[in-house]
Amino acid sequence: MQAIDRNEQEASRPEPRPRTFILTGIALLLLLALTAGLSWVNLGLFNTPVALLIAVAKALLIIFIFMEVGFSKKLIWIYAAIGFIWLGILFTLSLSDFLSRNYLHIPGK
Amino acid sequence: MTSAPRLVGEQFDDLEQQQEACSLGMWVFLCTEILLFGGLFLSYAVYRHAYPQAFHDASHDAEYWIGTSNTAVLLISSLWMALSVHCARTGRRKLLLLFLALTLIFGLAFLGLKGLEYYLDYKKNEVPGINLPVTDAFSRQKEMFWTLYFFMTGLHAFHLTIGCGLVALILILAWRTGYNAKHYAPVEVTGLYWHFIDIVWVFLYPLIYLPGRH
Repeated sequence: MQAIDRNEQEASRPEPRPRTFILTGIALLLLLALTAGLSWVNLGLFNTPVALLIAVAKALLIIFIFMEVGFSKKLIWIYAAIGFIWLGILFTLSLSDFLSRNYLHIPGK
Repeated sequence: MTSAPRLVGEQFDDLEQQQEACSLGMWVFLCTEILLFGGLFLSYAVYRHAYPQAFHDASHDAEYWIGTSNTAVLLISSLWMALSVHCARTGRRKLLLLFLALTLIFGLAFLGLKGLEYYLDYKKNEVPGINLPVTDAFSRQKEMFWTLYFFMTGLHAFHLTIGCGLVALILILAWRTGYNAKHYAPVEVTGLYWHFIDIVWVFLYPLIYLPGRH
């Protein structure tokens, strides 16, 4: 029964086509050109946030299409997400300390 | 069909379950890798926040054109790798060999350019502990950028070296035995690892090469 269920799921799951991969590759190179070009423009405080947003877009394209997470079962989605969630916890807790150290103006802190 | 039972480990019911377990196992490993690199990215964030001007100035001296070219090389290598997995799954042996070879060539090209970059960094006296001049507080702050630069790109290059070894191994196995729809987990798992290395670089690039451009 379990095997039949799996086969049904397999049949309904679409597989990425080579065309999708090639278009994704072109999109990634265009995003690289965009971020490389934008780095020469002074956006004030926004240079790094914009560059990181483009990096996130590139990473999502790689994860969902090249790594085929977008075509995988939900279990893979959870595992793909969990590493980044832990990373989020690491950054949130650590930076809440480092970024707030000057708030109290305590000498030596 | 006759070879199928030999391919299934005894702990698995069938090939499909084995295939899923392989890719899930690789994702678990990648979670630990995210945190390994995450620690370095966190260090970068803390020091960049503490020394914004020094990081801006030091980044200006980084090899922008080599970094940008290397990003393109690695993104294209990921495309070849994705096509390799597709060819393995659909049993196209010749195309699989071609795309794996291209992946390997682009991976080695990245490492070659990285080596050239390290050589140029050395020539420009930018290697902490060897020839980077540290005379005052500001140069000590710049030293922090270069230390993080070498650790982060070094760990990344180390991973890519392992990746190239894996691709070479898969290439030999594909040439000797081939892969098909029932048996392509090794190609898929190597692909996941390769794309992960690509993602790490996608984040290293804007943090190392771009802050000092404007």
